[in-house]
Amino acid sequence: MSLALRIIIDAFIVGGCFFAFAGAVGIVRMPDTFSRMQSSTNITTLGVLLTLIGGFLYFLLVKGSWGSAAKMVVIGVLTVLANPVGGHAMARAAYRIGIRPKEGFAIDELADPEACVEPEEAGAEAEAAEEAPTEIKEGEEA
Amino acid sequence: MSEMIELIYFAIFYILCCFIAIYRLIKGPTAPDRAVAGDCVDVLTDMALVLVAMYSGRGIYLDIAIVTAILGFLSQVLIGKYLEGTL
Repeated sequence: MSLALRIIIDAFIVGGCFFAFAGAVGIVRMPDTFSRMQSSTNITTLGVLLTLIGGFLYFLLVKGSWGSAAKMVVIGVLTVLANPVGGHAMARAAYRIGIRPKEGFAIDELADPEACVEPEEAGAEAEAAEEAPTEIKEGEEA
Repeated sequence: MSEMIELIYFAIFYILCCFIAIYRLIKGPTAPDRAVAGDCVDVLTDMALVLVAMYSGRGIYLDIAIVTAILGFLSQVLIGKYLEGTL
């Protein structure tokens, strides 16, 4: 193992540690719930990805293990795909149970009643829209 | 190769970051705060497992890290849907 390779791998992992520490401090120090969610994404994007790049280089170039390097790629793809979905679900839930930011919204799209129709309600409205024309037709026939 | 002994110190650093997030997990005023902090503990533990796997040279820790990543995603989505009331 050459010294240059070791320094490169350590630089990636130190970068990941820095962003993970920044995210963890942000979770404690941020003033309201949505700011804390924003700060937690700091960990799951740059913190995870830089550490995984360092691990990928370590397993591939130092260990020569393709299987472990592929597992690193799998962990990275899972984290990058899964965490935006989870964060979106959690932010929507926080809005729905009545949590608001300290200084108000710049854009509040969930307050629009047409934008947040539940699936059951949308189905009921579609059924009502289907029933209405048939009643009119029956009235015309009578 | 256990010449890179600094990897275990990085893993210990990630665990210390976990304790910073656990403070918010205990103190957090609302349920989404606790859920987000719990997910952060999950991801940080994930990274600590990857570093321990690199340090010790045993691939079994990587499998545990993959399972932890999947379960963290599932728990966050399920807690979100439960709080929203549409589960």
